[in-house]
This record gives sequence, structure tokens and C-alpha cells, in this order.
Amino acid sequence: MPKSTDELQNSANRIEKQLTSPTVTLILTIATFGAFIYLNYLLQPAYRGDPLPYTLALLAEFFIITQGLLSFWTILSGRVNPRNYEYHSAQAKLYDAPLGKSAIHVLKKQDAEVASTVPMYVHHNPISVDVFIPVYGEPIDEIRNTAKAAKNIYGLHETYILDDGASDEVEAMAKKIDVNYIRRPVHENAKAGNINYALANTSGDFFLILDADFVADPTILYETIPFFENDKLAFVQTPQFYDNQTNFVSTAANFMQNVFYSLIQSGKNRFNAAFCVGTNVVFRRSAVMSIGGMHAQSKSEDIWTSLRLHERGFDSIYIPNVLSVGKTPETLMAYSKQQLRWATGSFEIFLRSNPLFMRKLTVDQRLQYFATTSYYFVGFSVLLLLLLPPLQIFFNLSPIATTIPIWQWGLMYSGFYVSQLVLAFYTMGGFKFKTLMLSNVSFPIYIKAFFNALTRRDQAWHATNTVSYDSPFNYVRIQVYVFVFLLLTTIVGLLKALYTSQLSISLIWNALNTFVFGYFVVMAYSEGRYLKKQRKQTKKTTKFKKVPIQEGVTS
Amino acid sequence: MTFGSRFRFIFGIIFVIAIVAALAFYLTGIMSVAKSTKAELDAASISIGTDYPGLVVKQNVEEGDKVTKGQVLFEIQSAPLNEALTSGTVSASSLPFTVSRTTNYIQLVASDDGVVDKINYRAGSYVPVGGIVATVYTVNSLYVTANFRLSPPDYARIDKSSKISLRMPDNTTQDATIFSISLVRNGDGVDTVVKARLKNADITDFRFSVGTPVEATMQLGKTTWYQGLITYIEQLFKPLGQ
Repeated sequence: MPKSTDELQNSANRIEKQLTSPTVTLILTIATFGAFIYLNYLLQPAYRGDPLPYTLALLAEFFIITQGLLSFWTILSGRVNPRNYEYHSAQAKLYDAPLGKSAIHVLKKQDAEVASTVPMYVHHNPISVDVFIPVYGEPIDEIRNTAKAAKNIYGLHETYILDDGASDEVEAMAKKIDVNYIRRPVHENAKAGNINYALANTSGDFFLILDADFVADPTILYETIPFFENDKLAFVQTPQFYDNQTNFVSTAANFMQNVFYSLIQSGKNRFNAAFCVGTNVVFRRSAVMSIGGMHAQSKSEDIWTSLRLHERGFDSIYIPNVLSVGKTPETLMAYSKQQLRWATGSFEIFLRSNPLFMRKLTVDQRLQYFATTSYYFVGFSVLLLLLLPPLQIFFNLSPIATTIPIWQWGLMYSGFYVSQLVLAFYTMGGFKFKTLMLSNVSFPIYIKAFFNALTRRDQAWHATNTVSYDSPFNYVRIQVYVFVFLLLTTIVGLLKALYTSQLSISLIWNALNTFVFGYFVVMAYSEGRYLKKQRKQTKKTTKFKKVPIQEGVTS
Repeated sequence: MTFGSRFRFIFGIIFVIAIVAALAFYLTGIMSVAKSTKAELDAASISIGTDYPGLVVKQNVEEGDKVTKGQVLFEIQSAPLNEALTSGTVSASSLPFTVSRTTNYIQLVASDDGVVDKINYRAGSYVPVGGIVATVYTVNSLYVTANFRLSPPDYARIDKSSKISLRMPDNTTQDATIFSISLVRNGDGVDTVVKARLKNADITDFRFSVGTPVEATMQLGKTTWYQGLITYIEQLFKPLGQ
């Protein structure tokens, strides 16, 4: 079901409120205890199983528990409203004296024409703001929507479409709706290069970046600009929320994003480590220029730029207000590519310039960036855990001593995991099993990302949900192999269990994994059929438009 | 999907199936044998003693010494025997053991080649009536006692003709022939205790001392984990009523 902006804002507000509840402290304390109880259990010599699976299990669980504890810490530390007196005072004076405190209510009643040209002030000085919409082959209707919404943002600003797709159609559209159009002569360094080119040709004190699919709320500048009363502030990030929850991929990916923004990113404020995610973010031009523009040497320009700014001693803020709504990947192809890009970016930072050893960052920031950039190692944990049941089935090797009753292990295991479920229900209002499934089946993407980052291999970049048709099986190949492997292993395990008349936990676990991967493969299959059908229809009605591939943009 | 990627896709699946086949083959291998939970060497021993009580006056061997058939191990001075001999109640030749002609001491000899296991009465001690002075492990009586924890279907797969091989502490292997299979309750389960005679082992070699811990591997019968599937398929192809 597509969701309206109001609905999204309401749920974001509810989560923000729930997070401040003391019960969250209780749940997280229990979860922390649970983590240590489980770890202690795993380390007991008496429960140790065969060396190989035991080591694998320990490595995987140790990583998961460490990441878990780091996130608990982040969530517990956050839960503080980043808006202080300075902010509110600046917000009241944002549109100069005559409008005063009720400015936003007055503006809402005004014509869009008027509201979007009201001058804004910071420190009593008039400011100029540019809104950048970097585009690269997205559908023209989507760009038009975004540009129109951007144009109607309250407060005096200039809107620019930064077209890397070099489309004359987009240029004509820009002219028609009266927004600025910038096309650079050489398309290099992807999005960062695009923005840097725009920065060289504009002069606003602040700039807001909106991806082509993000429709901004008119109050976005009203909510963010007052923070810049703090001279050390480099950027204000607002969440990436999506209104398309139409199928398996978008529903699962959406929830994954919500958890990240609502629970983690808001916690990072306290560490002064909230990082930029590339869209829905307002930058101070002088801060970005002081580090030589957006970091252009990587596809993950967003997090690199944040890192460089924090190194320079700048502050950052994240606010949970839903001020623009975009589109989450709807196809496995789009999802896989997006995840690959994010994970590769994380690994790049982890491998090239590990935040833990960056002297110029504060300890708080180092720990936070370390937690963020090491997150995608979870792919390896998932792989190791997937291997455990087959090891038991084919080699009779068990990670925990076979004399230990399973319920005991289950009890020890649950403290850590059940409390996380409780947290999800308490704060997010529910938990999506689909998200857990999707993050598990994504492990090959993360492992691939690791090796891409290691070997500095570049991946072609595409905007979310654009390139028309490609069989999803090109993207879920490894998952299909894993499914076949798990399925056959379950069959062998089943026959073995029938023969020995002993039902092992490994078999049940393996069957569950088979189900998860099987579900995913079925989703991929039905997506493939759907896309094929759609392509046939498009072919019949309109001519097939090709996305322009520019030299230097991709490899 | 292009033809190339389709081919790669199918090749990958075949590769995965091959991996599972190899793993299943390995599983069949480890499931066609049973490994002992505990196994150690043992040997048949003979007791050496006398009906006449008396004093051990001479002890020619110590525990662990090799002995040959007919070797005099102990000499016992027995007052009752001496009396009986001098009074002529018994004659030396009618006794089941040899008696020294000069001293009338009872001579205890080894009835077979072997190794002295235990000495109960050392030189100077007094042997009561019917006392066992020593026990001797006889050569070629070496066997292994191995405990297995077998599942019911695996238990059905063994019999006395099953092959058993032993891995010695020095990593050499020995074949053995089963002569006894029994069940013993052990904790919360039942152990299958298998005794098997070693074919070419010499007890006088210290490597085969009684009590040596070994690892016994028993070959199981032909049926295995996929038997259920095979039986089911066989059922499918059987005409009704047969």
C-alpha cells in the first residue's frame, strides 16, 4: 500500500516519541544482559562442540553480538531532541520580523509563488539557498514532480536540475516549469562530480540535495535552516522515507530503512556522527568547499564527505522529520544494485581509511563510524551460520556439544534476540519477517561488495528503479545456488533422520533456511514474469526508450 | 537473460548438485562405519597356583616379564607336601606340578608362552590353600573390547562377520575378528560391546600391552541412510499384490 506523507510523518513522530520512553531503556538493558548471557554460554568449555563448526559459530555470533551491542548503545545514547533554544529562536526569526513565530501558518495560506520567494535570515543576515536535483536517466515525469515540489519549498531559493543524463527532453521540461537546468560537458565522478560542477556554477550559502525521486515537503528549509545558527554545523540530514510499499522487495527494504533512520541515525546525533546519505540533506556551502567539494573519488560520496567534514571539526545534525518522500527499490535488480553500492562504500572506508584510527575524529565519532562501516560484514556471519547445519548433516559435526539439550541453547539464545523483537514491536509498532529474510538472503551482495572494495573494482551505477528490463535471475544467481544446495541438503538430512530416527535441530534449521531462500527465489521468479509482461506491454504502446550511457560515468 | 548467462546459470546449478553429491558420498562413507566410543586391548590370562599352601622361596620373574612354555616361575616350600612325600602318601610323579628332586619344593611353570600379568604372592610370602600365585597372559590370546553407541538401524547392520580394524596409538592399524557381541547399559543409553581377536599381534611386544587404548572402526552392512528412499522407489515399481 502506498503511504501518504502525513502517514509517514505520523509514524515517524510516533517512533520518535516511543523512543524516549523509559521502557526502551529497560528493553535495551535486558537485551544487553541477554547478549552477555548468550556469549558466556557459548564460551563455556562444557558446551563446546566440534572445533570447526564451533569456531565458525563463535565468529559469526561474536560479530552479530558486537554489532547488536553497538546499536543498543547508539539507540540508548540518542533519544534527545537536537533542537535547542538557539534553534527555536533562529526558526522564529527565519523569515524576518513581520512573519514572526506563526510564519509557517502564514506561508501555508500564501500563494506558492509568494511563499517560495520569502527571504530567509540566519544571524539576521539574508541567506541564499540552492536546491539541487541530480538526475541521471530517471523517468521525466518523476523529475518533473520532484522539481515542481522543490520549486514550491517555502523561502527564497533557486532550484536546479543537474542533468547527467544529458537529455534534451529534461532540458525542455525544466524550461517549461521554469527551473534552472545545468548540464556539464564531461560526465565524470558520478553524482559527486555532478554536484561539484553545480557548486562551481552557483553561489548559494546553503544547498539542498534531492534525488530525482524525492518529493520535498515545502517546510523542508524551515525545519532545517535554523540549525545553521550554529556556525560549526556542516549539514542537516533528514530521513529517506518511501511511500511505495507495493511488493516484497519494497516492503522489506522500506522497513530496513525505517529501522536505520528511526533508531540508529537519530542516536548518532549525540555522538556528532550523523552522516549524510546523499539526498534530503542541506549543506553549508563554505563547509563543503573547505574540504574541496563533495568527495568525488568514490561512489559513496555521501559518507566520505561526512567523514571529511567531521575530520575538519564540523558538526552534523539528523532530524527525524519526514520532509521528502521517495521511492525504495521495487525490483530485485534495483535492490541488489543499491545494496551493493552502499555496502561497497562502507567497505571502502573500512579498508582504506578505517575510522577507528582517524586521529582527527573524536572517540565518539570513531566508534560510530566503525560501527557503520563494519556493519556489512554481517554478510559473512550469515554465510557462516548457513554452513553450520550442512556441516552437521554431512559431517556429523556440531557447533555445540551434542549432550546439551536444545531447549537450553534456545533459552540462552532468546534473551538477546527476543528482546530485540520486543524493541521492534515497542518502537516501530511491529516487526517484518520479510525484512529479516531479505537481509539474510542479501549476504552474497555484501560479500561481493567486500571483494569489490578490496580489489577496487567499480560497479556501474544506475538510479533506483530505472533501467527497464533485466531478468532478476541475473541478480539472484548465488541465492538460487544457495537454495538448491540447501534444498538438497534438507533432503539428505531428512533421509538421514528417517534412517537414524533422530530429528536434529540442524535439520529444522536447515529446512527453515531453505524456506527463506525458496521464498526469495519464488519472489524473483514472479518478479521476472511481471517485468516481462510489462515490457511486452510497453513495447506495444510506446517506443522503447534507452537510458543514455555517458562516457566516464560508469565503467 | 542472454544465452551466455543462461548457460552459466545452469552450469552453476549442476556444479552445486555435484558438490552435494560429493558430500552425500562422503556421508555414505562415514555412515558405513561405526567408530568406537571406547576400546582397549585385553588378553586371556591363565592362573598359576597350587593346592598346597606354603612359602614362596624363589621368584624368578617380575610382573611384565616375558615367559616361555615350561619356564620355572616360582618355587614354593610346602610343609604339608613335604610331609606327604616323606610319609609316602603321595609320590612326586602323580602330582599335577613338578617338584624339585633335591629340595621337594613345588615348581610352578608357565604352561604357555606369554607375559606375567600379576604376581599375588611375592618371594617370602605364604600361599594359602588354593592360592593363585600369579597370572600370565598367554600369547595369541590378544583381543580388543570396544564399546560402540549404535543407533537401532546401525545395530541391525552388524554381525560376527563384520570387519573391524584398530588404530593403535602409534597410528598403525590391526585387523581383528569379532567373536562376541553383547549389549551393556551405559548411562542413558545402551552400548554395543564387541570383542574381537587380533590376528597378528604378539602380546610380548610392549605395543600390545593389555589396557592399550585403541580406536576401533567397524564396517557396517550394506544398507545406509538413503535406504528409505530406495525401499520406497522399489515399492513404486512393484506390481500390486506382490
